[in-house]
Amino acid sequence: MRGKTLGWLATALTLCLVAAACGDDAEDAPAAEPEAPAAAPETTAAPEAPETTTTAAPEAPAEVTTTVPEAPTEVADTLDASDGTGMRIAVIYDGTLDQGGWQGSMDAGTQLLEDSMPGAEVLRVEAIDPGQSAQRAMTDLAEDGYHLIIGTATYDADMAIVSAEYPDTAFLHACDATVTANMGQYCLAVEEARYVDGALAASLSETGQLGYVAGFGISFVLKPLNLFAAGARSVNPDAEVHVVFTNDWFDPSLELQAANALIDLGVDVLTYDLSSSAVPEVAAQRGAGFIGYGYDDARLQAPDSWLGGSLYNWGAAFVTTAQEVAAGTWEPGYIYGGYADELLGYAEFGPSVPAEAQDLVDSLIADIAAGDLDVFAGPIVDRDGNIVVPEGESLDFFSRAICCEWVIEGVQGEIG
Amino acid sequence: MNDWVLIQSLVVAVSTGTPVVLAGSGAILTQRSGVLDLGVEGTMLIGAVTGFWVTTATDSPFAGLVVAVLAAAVFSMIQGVLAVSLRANQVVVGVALVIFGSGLSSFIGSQGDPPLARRFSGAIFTPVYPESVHDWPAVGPLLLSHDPVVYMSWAFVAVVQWYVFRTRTGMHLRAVGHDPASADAAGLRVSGMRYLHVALGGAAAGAGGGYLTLRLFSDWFDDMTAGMGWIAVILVILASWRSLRLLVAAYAFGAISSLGFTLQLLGWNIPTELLAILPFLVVYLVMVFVSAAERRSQMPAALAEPYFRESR
Repeated sequence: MRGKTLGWLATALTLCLVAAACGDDAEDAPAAEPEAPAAAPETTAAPEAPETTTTAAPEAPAEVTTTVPEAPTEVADTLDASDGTGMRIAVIYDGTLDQGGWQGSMDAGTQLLEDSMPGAEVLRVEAIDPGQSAQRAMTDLAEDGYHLIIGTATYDADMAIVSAEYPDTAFLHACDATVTANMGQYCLAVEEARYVDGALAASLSETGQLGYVAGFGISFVLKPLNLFAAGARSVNPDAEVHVVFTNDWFDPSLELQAANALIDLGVDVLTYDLSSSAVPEVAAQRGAGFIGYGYDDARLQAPDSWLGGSLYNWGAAFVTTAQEVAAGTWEPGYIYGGYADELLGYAEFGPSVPAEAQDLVDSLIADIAAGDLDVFAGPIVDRDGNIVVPEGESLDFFSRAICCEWVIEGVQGEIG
Repeated sequence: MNDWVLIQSLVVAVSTGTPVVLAGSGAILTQRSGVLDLGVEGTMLIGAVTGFWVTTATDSPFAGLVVAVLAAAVFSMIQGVLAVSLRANQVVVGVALVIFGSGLSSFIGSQGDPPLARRFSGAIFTPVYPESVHDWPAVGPLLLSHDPVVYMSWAFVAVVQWYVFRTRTGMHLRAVGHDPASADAAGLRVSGMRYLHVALGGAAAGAGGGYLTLRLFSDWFDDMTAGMGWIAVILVILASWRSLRLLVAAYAFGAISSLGFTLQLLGWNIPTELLAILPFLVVYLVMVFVSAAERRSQMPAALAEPYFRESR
């Protein structure tokens, strides 16, 4: 008898443990302190209330809105578009922000937003999974009077639902499809980023054999892969890009094995389309070069292997949109740009990169930004010999966005 | 395909297999005492993050490893208290520990300025023998190119095998895991033995986790074990609770997936999805045949069963 009771007690304790572990994330998120000091005095009271009540009482937000004196539509006129005074912006992440990688690059964007619009109140909401919790978070934020809600992960369906109910709130989502009267998208021309990266890799490789570790062989992974190879072959027509797929977005152990297999076969420069530390670590331990993609965390981790790499600069999209929303001129659409729009940048070069290679990168970026170099200009031939972009032509916006189902010449390896 | 590629695959399999070997050998000790600790994944994460923390502060991977082992042993006492003293359902407790360990390690990783997750440690374990011997044919890369933790893991495997089957205490351990009531009647302290081996299993999992941050990836990131703890638990069962078999299974597992990438690169037209399941398939089949050849099950008969003295 006593044993059974103890057993139940223990099971109950266990459940508490789980609740504590899960609750950690869920409760932390909405309670995250606004980083910027609240600008207008009347708003200082507002953010406090939902922090303590959102998880407990569902009717709390309604009460809260009454303490926010301005309805968003009326406020639109009083917001200061230059420094964002009076504006409230929330950025929602699906992970935590101390990890670097994709979320880290997004957070650099949020930081830029804070720096560019010091008067605005910017709230970071971390560890929100797509689905119910994302919808609840967005609903709370919209009810709470936030003027602009930015989603950094796969929240497209959730945002489409919530944005329809709050027509006076602006919604901005990363790299998906839905565009409505108050919801827009922002994304980066990764083809430009990877073309430059590929050119740098080929100019520094002694063997002309480049290694590429990726997750799955799907279109939005094949696009950067293709353009990396195209960039490499613009420098060295014999360069080959060897690709391996781990069939996982996050399996550091497999990434380690894949990167080692590439080096065993004579690859001397590695890059990836993943974010764990495994691939740069292999480059460091085996003396190969490493090219980053989107973020430069590996520059600190593997300083001797680090060569360079494009940087995502989401902040440009955040700031433009926030200013337009504040000015009342925002037209939701599809923000899609690269070096010309400053949505892409370039990381610091590694110590071993000679001046000529640095100049090559600078001139390529200048040409792309000026519109003199179109990375999708034909002729582009796939590796089966089919012409996918004829000479003298290029891809239109839509085809670029959904590219690619094909793999170009110079890419070696089974496509999963 | 040349021998060199094969050897390189094995070398990579040794380094990626080491955390699994350490955690799995520890799990053998725990499970032999009759406690099924499914929390290995979470315990490894605790070892990984605490070891990294100490190493970034002290620049000594050895200090990091010691702390990883101790912290993980303490963490595994949650399993000890709940499963041994409070006799909770061990499966539920184990799964809960994975979630708790993941959350707690992420929390620890977010502390400090800059947070641990944004720091990199220059101090990691390095190979024991000089570069010049690494190129000796076959034995160089396979046996002489490793870091101290790999050699420690080999010693640990041998010690576990010897301890479980060749010592008096090891016999007591098996008795406690097989028939706790009889062991109790014979004067063995069932709870004491179980606590001790839960702690030893936790410590070994902590060493496995520490190896991730102090050598394999030389970095901490959230949930970096990515299933290694679960693979360790699976291989323990497939290896019939024997540490030498576990070592072979863990290396074979790593070698097959590593070789898969090489074959993929050499242009063998193998679908990558098939390559992803190949290690499981091969190890599973081999172990099933090996186990089938045995006369009786090696599983500790009282595995996952709480022991109630009053119901004796």
